[in-house]
Amino acid sequence: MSELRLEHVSKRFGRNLVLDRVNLDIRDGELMVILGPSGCGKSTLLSIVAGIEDLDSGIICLNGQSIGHLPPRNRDMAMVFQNHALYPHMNVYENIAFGLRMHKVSAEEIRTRVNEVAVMLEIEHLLKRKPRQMSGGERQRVAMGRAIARHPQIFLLDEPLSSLDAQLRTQIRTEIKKLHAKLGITMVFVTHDQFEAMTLSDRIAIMDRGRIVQVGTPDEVYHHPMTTFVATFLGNPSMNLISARYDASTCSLHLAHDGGTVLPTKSTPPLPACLIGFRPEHVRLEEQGDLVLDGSVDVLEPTGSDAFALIDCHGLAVKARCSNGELSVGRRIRLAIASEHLHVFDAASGNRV
Amino acid sequence: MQILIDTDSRKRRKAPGLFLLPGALLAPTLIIVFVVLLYPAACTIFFSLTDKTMADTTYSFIGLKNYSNLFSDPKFWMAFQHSIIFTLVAGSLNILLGFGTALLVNRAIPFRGLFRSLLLIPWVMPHIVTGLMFRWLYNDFYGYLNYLLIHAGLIEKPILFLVDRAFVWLAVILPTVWYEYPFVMLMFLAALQSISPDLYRAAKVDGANAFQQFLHITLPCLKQAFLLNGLLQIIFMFKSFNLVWILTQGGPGDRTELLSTLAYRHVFEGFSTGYGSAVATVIFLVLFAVSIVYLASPAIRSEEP
Ligand SMILES: Nc1ncnc2c1ncn2[C@@H]1O[C@H](COP(=O)(O)OP(=O)(O)OP(=O)(O)O)[C@@H](O)[C@H]1O
Ligand SMILES: [Mg+2]
Repeated sequence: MSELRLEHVSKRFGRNLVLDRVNLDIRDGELMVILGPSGCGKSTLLSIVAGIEDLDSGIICLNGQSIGHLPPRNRDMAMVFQNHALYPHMNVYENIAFGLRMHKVSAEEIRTRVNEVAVMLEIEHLLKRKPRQMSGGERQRVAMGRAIARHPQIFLLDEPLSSLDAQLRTQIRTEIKKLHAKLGITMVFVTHDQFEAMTLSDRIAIMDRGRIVQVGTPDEVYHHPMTTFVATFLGNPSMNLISARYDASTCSLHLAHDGGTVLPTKSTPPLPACLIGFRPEHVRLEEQGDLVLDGSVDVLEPTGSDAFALIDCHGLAVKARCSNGELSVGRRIRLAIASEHLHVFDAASGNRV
Repeated sequence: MQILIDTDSRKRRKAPGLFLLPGALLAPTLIIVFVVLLYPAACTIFFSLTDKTMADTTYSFIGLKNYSNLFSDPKFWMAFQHSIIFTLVAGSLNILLGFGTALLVNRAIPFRGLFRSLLLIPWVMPHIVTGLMFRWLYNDFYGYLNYLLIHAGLIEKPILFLVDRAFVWLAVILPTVWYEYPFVMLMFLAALQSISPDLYRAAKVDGANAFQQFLHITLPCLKQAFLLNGLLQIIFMFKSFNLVWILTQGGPGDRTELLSTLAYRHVFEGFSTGYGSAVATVIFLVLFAVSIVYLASPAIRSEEP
């Protein structure tokens, strides 16, 4: 059993409010990914959970017990750092054993545990090496080993893959996922890479400027974004957002750029100014649809099997995904988007309506 | 094609310039090193093999005679012993004090920058100023030190720090440490700052307390700094001259005679340039040997921190 709960956790660095009343529930055995742009406070959040940084206000509970005041040593968590932070003067064996020695684990137990993780992570042949004698991927694996050997209740990972090349990233990402399935341990994984977040997570918590803006399964956050930030942050290329006005008398949305296109809606925005969002992959080259736009192809970016098209619809730039060779630059086309793929947001707050 | 040929010829024309420019830039330094360092050093070694005196312009080559005289001279051996003790005591104190203060000012204390700058002042001061300052401090009549000790009731009569055989070593080592330890502090501070803060964070998560972090992170990461400072202190202290000369000139008697003061005395007071040069050459050879052993040792050659 290891459930982690954060309630109203806030942290300032000087005047800078880095974490703003963060609430987060992490369930037992879950792989929770914290996703957000660089500088949004992900590392700070993890440091506070680990006890390396003090929190200014709020509560952190592990299995219902408040641990906010405990030193890191008594929190029973292990962490993998953004730049691995292996001890440069110790070899791999000593690096993995260090945390166990600090926790007064017997020498014999240390030996079995180090060998156990060495076999698990296939680093047995590296045990005598110093960190500088290893490649980036090997170091990252050792850093994971150091954390696993502790048998912690919670496993914290701060962008463990960010320093690796694309291939190694995929490989170690898969290993982490396997490891999580095998150990059944609660993991908090921080990243700014949405692809990593989507592929790894049980649930994703999306952070923006010190706040958690949405928590949910990868499908939920992708298909049901609660704010325009989440909508545009996830997906590549990002979601199209076009301005519209809500007319309460007819219960319909009028597109702002031409004023002509009218779209009936069931939602009731609080203010007339709205944003309509739809993903590039939901744009169809059809005559019929709930939202229909006319335009001409401006730019084509082939990506192999498909291509991304930037389409100019009377001054409105719309991104669309099409199959390669389907379109050519300058061609006049009609776009249609089905209403189930349309998201309506309040323009002022950015919140979903 | 035209372009290809063009760049080719330009490259060929440029080739001698590639050596000329660095050579021209290095030349002033090399000339200065030669004039003020290599030439006098070579002269010293050469004179140590002659019977040259200050008074006489003619001299003859006498082989290792100066050295055999030196090695049978009890004064030389005593000065040698003094130099070693001085080096060990002053050098260790410098390293201890320098390391300690570096640890202090590396912490997030208020006015840290100000403290760091203030602590460097003794090192910035010229030796002559430091020497004269301490002479006044030690003075039996005007000296602050005697004044304090008498007023505290610790002594009744002023102590002649630079004359009293019991105190003179203390009186020489104190200002030496006073001006030298800030340099050691600076070196250790640089080394401390190069330790990644993430290592401490990792150690905290691994459960290390403050003392264990010091023992298992700070000290091992400073191994190179300790070795380097050790070597530098051996060199600096073993050839130390200015302060001792300003304060005691090796006295009272030969109580604080070092190899450096002995060499100076022979060359400029005894006018026996050859003999004094032999003493200076011994200093050079000792330090040269220590440096070679040090720099060749696997501990300092390995790149790990
Ligand atoms: N020790 C500190 N002192 C002052 N400000 C800090 C400190 N550490 C972090 N910050 C600030 O807090 C904010 C969040 O930093 P944090 O390291 O948590 O970001 P992050 O989300 O992990 O970013 P990245 O993806 O780049 O690692 C940043 O604006 C940063 O400038
Ligand atoms: Mg970070």
